[in-house]
Amino acid sequence: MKTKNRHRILFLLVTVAVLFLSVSVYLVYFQLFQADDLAAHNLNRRNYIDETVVDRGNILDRNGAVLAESVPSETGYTRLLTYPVDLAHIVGYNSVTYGKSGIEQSYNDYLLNIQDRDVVGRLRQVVTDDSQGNHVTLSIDHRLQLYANQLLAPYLGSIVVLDASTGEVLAMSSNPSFDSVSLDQNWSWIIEDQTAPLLNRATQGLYIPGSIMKIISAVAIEESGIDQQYVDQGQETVTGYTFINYNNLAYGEVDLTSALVHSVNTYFANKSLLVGADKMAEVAKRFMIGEVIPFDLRTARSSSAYSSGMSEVDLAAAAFGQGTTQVTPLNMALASGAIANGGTMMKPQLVKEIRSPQNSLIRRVTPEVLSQVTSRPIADELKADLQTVVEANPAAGVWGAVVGGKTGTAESQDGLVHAWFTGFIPLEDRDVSLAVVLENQTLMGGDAASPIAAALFQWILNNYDGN
Amino acid sequence: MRRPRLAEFAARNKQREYFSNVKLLTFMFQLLSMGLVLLNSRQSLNVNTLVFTGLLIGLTYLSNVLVMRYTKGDNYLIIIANMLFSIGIVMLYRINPALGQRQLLFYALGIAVFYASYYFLKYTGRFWQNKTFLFLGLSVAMLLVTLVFGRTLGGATNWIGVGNVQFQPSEFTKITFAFFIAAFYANHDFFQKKLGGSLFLMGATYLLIGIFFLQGELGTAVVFFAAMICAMIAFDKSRLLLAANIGLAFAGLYLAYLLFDHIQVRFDIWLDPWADPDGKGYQILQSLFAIASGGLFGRGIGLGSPGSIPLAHSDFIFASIIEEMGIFMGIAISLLYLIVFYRGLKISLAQPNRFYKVLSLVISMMFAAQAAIVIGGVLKLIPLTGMVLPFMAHGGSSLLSSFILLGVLQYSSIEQYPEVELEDEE
Amino acid sequence: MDTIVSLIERIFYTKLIGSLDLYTMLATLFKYVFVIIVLYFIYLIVRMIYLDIEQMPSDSRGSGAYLHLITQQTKLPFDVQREYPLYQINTIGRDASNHIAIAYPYLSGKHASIFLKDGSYYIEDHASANGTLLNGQKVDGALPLKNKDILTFVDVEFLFMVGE
Repeated sequence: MKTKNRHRILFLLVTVAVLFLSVSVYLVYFQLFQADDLAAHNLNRRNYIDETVVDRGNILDRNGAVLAESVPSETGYTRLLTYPVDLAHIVGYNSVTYGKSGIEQSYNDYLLNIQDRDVVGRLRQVVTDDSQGNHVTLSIDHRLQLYANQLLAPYLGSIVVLDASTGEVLAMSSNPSFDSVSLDQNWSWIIEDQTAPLLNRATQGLYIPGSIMKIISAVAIEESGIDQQYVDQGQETVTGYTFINYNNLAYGEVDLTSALVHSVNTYFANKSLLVGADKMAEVAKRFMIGEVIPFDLRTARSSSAYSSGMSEVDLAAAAFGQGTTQVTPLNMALASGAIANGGTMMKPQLVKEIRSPQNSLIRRVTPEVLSQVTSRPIADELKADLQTVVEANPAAGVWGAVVGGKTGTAESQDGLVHAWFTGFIPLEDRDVSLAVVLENQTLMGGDAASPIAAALFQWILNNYDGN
Repeated sequence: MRRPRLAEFAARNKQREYFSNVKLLTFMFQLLSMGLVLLNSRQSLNVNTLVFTGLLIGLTYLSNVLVMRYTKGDNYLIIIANMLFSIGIVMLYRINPALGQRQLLFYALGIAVFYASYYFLKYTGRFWQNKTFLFLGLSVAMLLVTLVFGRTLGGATNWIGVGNVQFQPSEFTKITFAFFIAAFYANHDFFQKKLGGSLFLMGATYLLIGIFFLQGELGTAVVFFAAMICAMIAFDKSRLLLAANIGLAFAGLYLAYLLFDHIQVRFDIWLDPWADPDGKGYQILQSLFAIASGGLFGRGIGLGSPGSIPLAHSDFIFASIIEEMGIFMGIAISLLYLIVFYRGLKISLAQPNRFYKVLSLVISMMFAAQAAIVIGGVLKLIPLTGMVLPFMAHGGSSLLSSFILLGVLQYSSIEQYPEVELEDEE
Repeated sequence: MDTIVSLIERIFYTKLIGSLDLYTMLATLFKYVFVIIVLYFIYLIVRMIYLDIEQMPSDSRGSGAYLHLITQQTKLPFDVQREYPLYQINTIGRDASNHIAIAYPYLSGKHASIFLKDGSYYIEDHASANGTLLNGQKVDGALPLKNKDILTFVDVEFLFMVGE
């Protein structure tokens, strides 16, 4: 009787003890696993308190041109942007109400010089009175960026240009853009704009690739060692569904190279069945389709149509880029770059280096391999094939270098298409690759996108040498 | 049969040594922390602030010392409460010196009330043990008055203004309710025969809880429920009734969720505060940011930004403390509440007089439940309830009622000398 | 007051090293001190409690004295424990509020008590209706108990044991 009562009271004691001890454990867990993210969060005012008194670091292009800087005034520091519209998606906005985007966000810690969150780092910072932010140098060449924007201006779409040997992004355009300086005032109608100006199409726009997918399918075909000869009769029927070529043309005897030159859909529909879904999926994966691409800005994951046990019709369609595959322009520029670079896809980089206000080096970014898409011999073979493609369709070509690449025309809506071009230009000691996509066009990829690519290639040939 | 006197003597000496160390620690803590706080709020420095600080340190020291001389029973309760209060007052003062000074006044009142309650019971203790209906009536009356005349502050209709002063009757209802449960179980036989036994207790409790829900005081309702359930677990023979209550609780909570908008809102905020980070979710998010910015030892007094936490001085004082004094301090506070609960339970175990046995259990549970609910809410483990930490947060009514409850607990801890025991029997 | 405030500003708030002022250094140092103080405080309290518990034998289970039931349980139509540990004071009776509560109608509400005084246990009958027997003899007032004494409360017999 009394002992039972005693037991019950002890039970209460144990329960409450466990409760409070769990809370203590949770506090430790919180500190270890959740605290850092919360402390650095966008909405955490503590990260803003620094800003009016901190001389936020500059953002520069690869040649030292200032893209963003902080200037002092009576009310503290204000942010000045040299190209608020042209570089809006890259530099990003810095708003008290709406937070930050772009490099302003992803490198916020460095720009405020609060990147050292450990005790020793903080101590050092406090002791040496670092109320000045660090300067971030981007890989972007602002001249190329402005030029690309200019070329893109009449369209909705995106351009990505990168150095295939190092992964450095030289230009990244997305149209429509927005004015990052007047963001606060215009927020509501920017948000409601149906053309989605805040979307960085280069990294997050997902488009059906259309024929540019054939590059990747070609790699799979090469690797699988199947017979590359095919007699094209203008149509290919797969499980009751008939695929045709553009303009219903039939090309007769074709091999892989001519299939690429003439963009023969039936060839790829046929060969894909021989290669098999698994192999196609594996190769696509190596090209980072369906994978997360690590980058200094947020990227969308391209989606791969390939899966084990997919139907033959789907497989055939996917092989020439129709179907459920969706890719980002960044992804395709990387893909072309990989072919040009001997099969090695380099990790895309937007930041070259970070320096302190006293100009000492804090971080230098070195090129990194992201994926080996295929072997060197096969890559070189494809590279030559793609150069043959441009030779035969010279809209993207330039004098002075042998450009390689592929156009694509992806079905969009209401009878319109997305016009693609992706390819590369070999320079003396490196290759530069690019991808251009124009939304909702009436013209084909070759007619709309290739000239833009040609202009870009010309600029690169004249102005870029790796520095 | 008795232990050798020498061992006892040695143990007593050690106790005395520990006890004076404890007093010294509290003193040092207060001195250093208030020193920093005063420096930090140097702009508003005047003679008053210095006097107040002296008052704080003096009162704490005095109450710690006096408890051994003038009260029998547990020595730990008041020293732990003093330490909790000290941590709280540091943050309060740092956030707003005016608030801090007000709190100090209430503290002085609280210490006085602590001893007053103790002595009040010492001389009238026997009288209250069967006044079940009186306590119930008082509880209901106080709540109804608040319901009818009360003003709404911060989502809860529980404040009454008398002239310049505002107070929360619900805080004092805790006291009458605790006495009600104690009287009920002390006279359990009577109720068993006449009024359906524990059903009467349940009915009364649910009535009170219902009124709390109407007023929007989710947290206090839970505390009352916890008090009832624990008393039932410990003292009621019917397991069935206990299970029924727990079932009813879940059903009731679900029903309340469906019926009351403000409860739905609280749950929504708890589940996803990011959905409305500048509106409804703002409070809890700022609390989490603050806790995340503290680190293990905090940023240091005066070096954090509690200003960005809404209600940093009351509902979220726990978060402010962790930001400036660290996760370890948060753990220490949890442990302190746990020790209070432990002491209360031990008092209950050792007390043969049924009335005080139940009373000490209920009071301990009220402290523990309130602390756990507030800490849980601030950490987003459970929804926010609008309650504050006992002894720590700004709030005159809360502080006073906590000290009264502590005084009652102190009285319930009197050791069993035969004479006293026999007198208290019914 | 103003002079004091500006004095404080000068001493504590001028930047000494980099952006550090004396206040910041003190606050940073003290934060460790505060945590240590409070945790040490808790440690001391826990030790004091532990000491308390150690000292308890005289008024907890470990006192060593207990009542052992002699009468066969099965014969009794009410709940009785086989053993009751004895504390400083133990009341015996029919009422539920007794330490040793036995729901036997022939026991008085408050029948008797066993208490510890000056190191020895005593049995005291509270003028109960049916009386208490110590080793067969009626108990009047308070009588001292020794090991192996037999206590009888109407029909219920206990052995008083002092175990060590």
